[in-house]
Amino acid sequence: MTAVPDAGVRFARGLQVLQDLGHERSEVLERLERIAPDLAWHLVAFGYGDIQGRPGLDLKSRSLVSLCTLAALGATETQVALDAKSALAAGWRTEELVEALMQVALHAGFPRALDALEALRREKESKDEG
Amino acid sequence: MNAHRSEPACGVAQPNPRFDRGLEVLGHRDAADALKRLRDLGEIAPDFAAYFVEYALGDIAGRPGLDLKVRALLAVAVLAALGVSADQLAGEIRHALVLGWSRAELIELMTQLSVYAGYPVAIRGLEVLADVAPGED
Repeated sequence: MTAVPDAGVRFARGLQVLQDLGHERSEVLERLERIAPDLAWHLVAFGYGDIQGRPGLDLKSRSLVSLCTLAALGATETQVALDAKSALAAGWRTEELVEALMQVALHAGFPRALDALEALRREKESKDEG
Repeated sequence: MNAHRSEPACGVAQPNPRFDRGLEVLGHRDAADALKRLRDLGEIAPDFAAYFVEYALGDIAGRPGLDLKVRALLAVAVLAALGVSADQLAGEIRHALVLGWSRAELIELMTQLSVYAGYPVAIRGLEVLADVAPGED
């Protein structure tokens, strides 16, 4: 049986994954930490550390799973844009993300794919300008 | 451009009845708004914009069996219930108004949606409707 990692290790691993996905700690967490610090902690330690930080599927693949799931669920534009940014940082090209989101239209309907593509377009636009 | 598509998206070089039928359906819309959104989509996903016109509008919305006015009401109901972006919902509401539904009828629709999708969905739908079609109230 493997040793259970302590809380600090889990959190640190989560921060590392966030960084690998192109996010500075403050950018993602600052607002959430202000209103719900415990939730922010769990998001990093569990969401990014325990789950996304697992071996077995590389981070690049995971970022595509995240983006398409959020798109299919109808997450807000901010959330989709954040995960689009992660996916680009993980090495996907915009054209590949467009392909994936086109397939989302098949499984979740056109409206959700359209919203996600609009979020991606705006993310790309702000990146091109920045 | 995707090699699977033989013609440029949204700029048809060869005869393409599916695309034409889609444009015809689009022609019934509040065209300026719909075309702006289609152009935005074409910027990042030109093939998808073409699929949208050919398939969603031409093949499906353009079918006989239900008229466009009824389809527009369905679209407003489903988009409101799905909770898609206000931009998309507003576009469909404009479309429904253009096709002859009244503001009062759309308010009635949102009221019925509260039963199937909950009050938050109905209230948000009414807010978007109020932005698109400000009334006396």
